[in-house]
Amino acid sequence: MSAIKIRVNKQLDGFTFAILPSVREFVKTLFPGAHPANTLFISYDTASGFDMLQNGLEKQIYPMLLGVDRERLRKEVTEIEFINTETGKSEKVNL
Amino acid sequence: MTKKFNQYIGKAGHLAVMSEFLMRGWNVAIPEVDVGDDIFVVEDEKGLFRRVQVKTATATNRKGTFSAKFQLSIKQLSRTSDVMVHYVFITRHNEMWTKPIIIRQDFLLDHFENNKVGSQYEGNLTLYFSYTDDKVDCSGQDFTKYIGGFGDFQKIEH
Repeated sequence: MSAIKIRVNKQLDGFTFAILPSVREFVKTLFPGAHPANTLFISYDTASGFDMLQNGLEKQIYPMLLGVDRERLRKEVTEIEFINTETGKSEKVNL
Repeated sequence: MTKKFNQYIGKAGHLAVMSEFLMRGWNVAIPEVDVGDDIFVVEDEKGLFRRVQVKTATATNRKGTFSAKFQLSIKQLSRTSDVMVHYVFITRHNEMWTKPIIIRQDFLLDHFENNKVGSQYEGNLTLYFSYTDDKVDCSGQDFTKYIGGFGDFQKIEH
């Protein structure tokens, strides 16, 4: 697996971040004792228009979703790919 | 089979699945407008909410086995939100419904993206299930573990 893929779904009142079961298994194998979540929902006021990547929110998100702190992640993973589930477009973030 | 009968079997499948959820102590509702989800399934006391998409098919008999074809929207499958859709597949075979095959959206999406299950055409994913004895196979993937997979719908005592 070249990058960890996190799926982002922008909804009316926030963002849902999700990883697929195969990613959860990959994370558990790479980081024994890690407890990756299925999804993480960040709630905002309705139609806030907030841009996640421009505001650095992703740096807070991936340790929580993957259940691994950033320092540990950096040792094994070079980048994380955020995929917009609506458009299919993705943005890669270097750790 | 006529197009009209497909509507009957579709509705019969919905009601059969709804009946199962009710027997497990979960409340059910059908959205007034038929777009997206087929059934809302709710645990009343704590307000736990699940979205369910029912897919029905009639079996095609083969030698000692049978198969069924299901179609679903790739767009809906790909849109992972905080409340995942549970896909429930049931097949009408020998005047009976098969046990439901229940696959949560993220698991099915994983099979689609990484195991290449099904075939794509015009925004839809077509899945072929092959039933042999007590086993179910889809594009070479063993789906037996999803038979009667009510794990996310634990029985509620009232």
